[in-house]
Amino acid sequence: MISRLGALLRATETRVVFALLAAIALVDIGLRLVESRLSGNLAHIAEIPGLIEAAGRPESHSLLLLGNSLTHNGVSASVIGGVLPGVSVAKVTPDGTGLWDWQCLLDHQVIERREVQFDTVVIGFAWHLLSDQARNDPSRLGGLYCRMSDLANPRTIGLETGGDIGEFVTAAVLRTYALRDTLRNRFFQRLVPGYETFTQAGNSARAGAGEQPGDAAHDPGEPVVHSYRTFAGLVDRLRSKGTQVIVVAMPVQAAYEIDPELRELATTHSLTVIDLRKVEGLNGSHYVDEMHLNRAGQQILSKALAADLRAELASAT
Amino acid sequence: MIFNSFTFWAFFAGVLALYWRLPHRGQNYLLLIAGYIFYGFWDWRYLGLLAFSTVVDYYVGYLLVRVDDARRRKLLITTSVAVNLTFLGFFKYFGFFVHEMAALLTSLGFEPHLPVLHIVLPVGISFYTFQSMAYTLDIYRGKAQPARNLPEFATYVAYFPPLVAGPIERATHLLPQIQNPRRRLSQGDFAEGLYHILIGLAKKVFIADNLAPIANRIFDMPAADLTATEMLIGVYAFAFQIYGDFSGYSSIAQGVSKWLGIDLSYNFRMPYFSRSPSEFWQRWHISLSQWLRDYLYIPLGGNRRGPTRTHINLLLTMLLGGLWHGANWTFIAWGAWHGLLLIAYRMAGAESVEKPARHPAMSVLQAVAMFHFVCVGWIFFRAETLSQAFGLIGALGHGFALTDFASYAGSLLLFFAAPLLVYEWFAYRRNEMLLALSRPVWQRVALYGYFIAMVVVFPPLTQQVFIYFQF
Repeated sequence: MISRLGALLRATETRVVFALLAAIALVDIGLRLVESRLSGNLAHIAEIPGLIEAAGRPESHSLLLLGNSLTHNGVSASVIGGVLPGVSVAKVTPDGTGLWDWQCLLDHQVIERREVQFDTVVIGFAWHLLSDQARNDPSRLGGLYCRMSDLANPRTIGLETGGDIGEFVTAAVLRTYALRDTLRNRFFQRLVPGYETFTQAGNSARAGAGEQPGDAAHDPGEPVVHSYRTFAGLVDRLRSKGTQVIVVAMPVQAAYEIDPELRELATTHSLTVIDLRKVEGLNGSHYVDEMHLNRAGQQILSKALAADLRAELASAT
Repeated sequence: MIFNSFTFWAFFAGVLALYWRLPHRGQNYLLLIAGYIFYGFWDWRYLGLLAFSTVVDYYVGYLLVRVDDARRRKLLITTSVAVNLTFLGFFKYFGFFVHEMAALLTSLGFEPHLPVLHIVLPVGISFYTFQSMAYTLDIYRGKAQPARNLPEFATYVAYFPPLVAGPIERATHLLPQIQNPRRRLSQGDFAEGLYHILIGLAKKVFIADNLAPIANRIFDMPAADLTATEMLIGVYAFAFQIYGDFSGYSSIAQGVSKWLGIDLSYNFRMPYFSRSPSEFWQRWHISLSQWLRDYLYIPLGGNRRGPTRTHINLLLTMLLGGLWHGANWTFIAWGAWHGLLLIAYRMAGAESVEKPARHPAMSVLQAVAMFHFVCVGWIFFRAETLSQAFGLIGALGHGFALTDFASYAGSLLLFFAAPLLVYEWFAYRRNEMLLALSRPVWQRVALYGYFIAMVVVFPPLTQQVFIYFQF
């Protein structure tokens, strides 16, 4: 047995495999050390546990603003905090996220942490980002927001196929794989002229071809029926910890509908829906692109949201 | 289940873990079951087709060696060819011929009401029908022995690495390996398999799938809006996309098979360094060109009946080769273009081109010219219609301006394709298909590290299926 193992270790190709594994491990460790410097988004993700812990103290009133780049660009935590004195506000808005990421984030950073208690969680969304049919990125889940223990029931975190599970596990184990989009974009932004412009044009063309932002890939001929079972479960878990959940329909340039089933959740699960798809004073000049607000737009929307939140929190107490 | 998916590698790991623990017969049964699972993953409804084709060809082969009467033997081989071609014709060409017939009748003033069937093409049907047909044809010609039993033959047909996109393996090559009870995995086999798998994944995931959006974008634009530079970048991108895609698949199939202790034939040998059309066809999709040569070109008379007949045979073979790829006039035009190229080079003294050139620069010039002739063919192959193809060729007259888009697409093309081209140039110069394996360990580690890094960090934004599955 030992002689067989020795022969195996001496074999040339085994040395190649071990050298490759060592190189992969080294790169991975190096990447873990510097990843928060790779992009603003990764730096933000790294600070999330601290942000939540600082704001979500059980002894004070606290509010968590959760969302993606729509909320990041659209809502100012200082404006909200200014209108709601005595409430500590945390703003957690990692890029490109949706229901599945938010679920893992809330489960592991808020619900499971005894030292953390939020009175209110406000989630900014658009389109069908809160539905079970929201697009899922297993790499992002595995690498950034979920834990291996979540794999005990893959469907509850939106992993449908063996391929999804493979991607989740690889991203959880291999940082290079989990952060590949960031690495790729950073690399091409420096080396390829016009990379950002033409990549965004390509994305817009796909969106123009009927692909709605945030929706999972589906047969274009088949209408998608949106359901909210996962989100309802999340709302229940937050409520059982004494947290009120408010969802905010965020403004974007093209109109979208709020699903009737989401509105129904408002009555069955004591969920509050604030509709800010149209806000007085907001117009096309307040957008930097099809969906993201500029600083002036952020001020207008934040004031409108703060007023609605004040009324809502007052009625709740 | 595609080779660049986690599902396939989990499946293969399962097969491999069992395979080397089983005796020879168990290994063959495992390969048979694995082949049907692998194929059924796309659409289990077509498993019956695979099974039917297998049973027919097995019994034709079985009877061919037991029947002496020439007429009965002819009847048997006709049955095999007819069954395979009927499947292929029905699933692949029925819609095309109905459409063309309707167009013809309409142009003659009729109002045709021909049946329209919306049939999903069974994946890889062109590959396994050709492989199965070659088996009976070789037995008929006395060049191969039949399989000893049905499971053995079924394993040969359903052997999963080359099942859906080749190489089209001859019975004389693959069947004896399936029959061999002393299969083993040596260090050399492991090394070769690792090399094939890594370079294959890099070709598919890093090169082909990343070049696909560039080629798609340029081919989707109206030809009138393209500059000559943009059109050329689009065509080059497609040339490397299809090469990376198809040779990548063949390479992974070879690697996976090596780890099962079975050799597959080379389907590609650095084709873009070919200096003549005949050299190109000895390096591109080798298993199909050899199939067409042995079962079509030579039976038509090959080059034995004078120059005119040779030219007709070449053109016919390439036209049918084009049609094999799909039911569209663009594929027929692609085949015709290659047929005409073969004829033109022949008429210009092809043999002198195939000998080493007097000056190395001449070799390079010949290879560059041939690559561009191949690219003209790719325009027909990739275009949706013939008019689009001619429009794209016409874009060459739109000036060679370096637009912002051309800089962007050209930079990406260079980043994805140039390293492969450089590596293959060295391999071509040394005439070593396994160049990396003859290099020192540190060079191999560096090369494999590059492949892995590119596959991990630069996968495509949207995963693409292998182009050749549709053929």
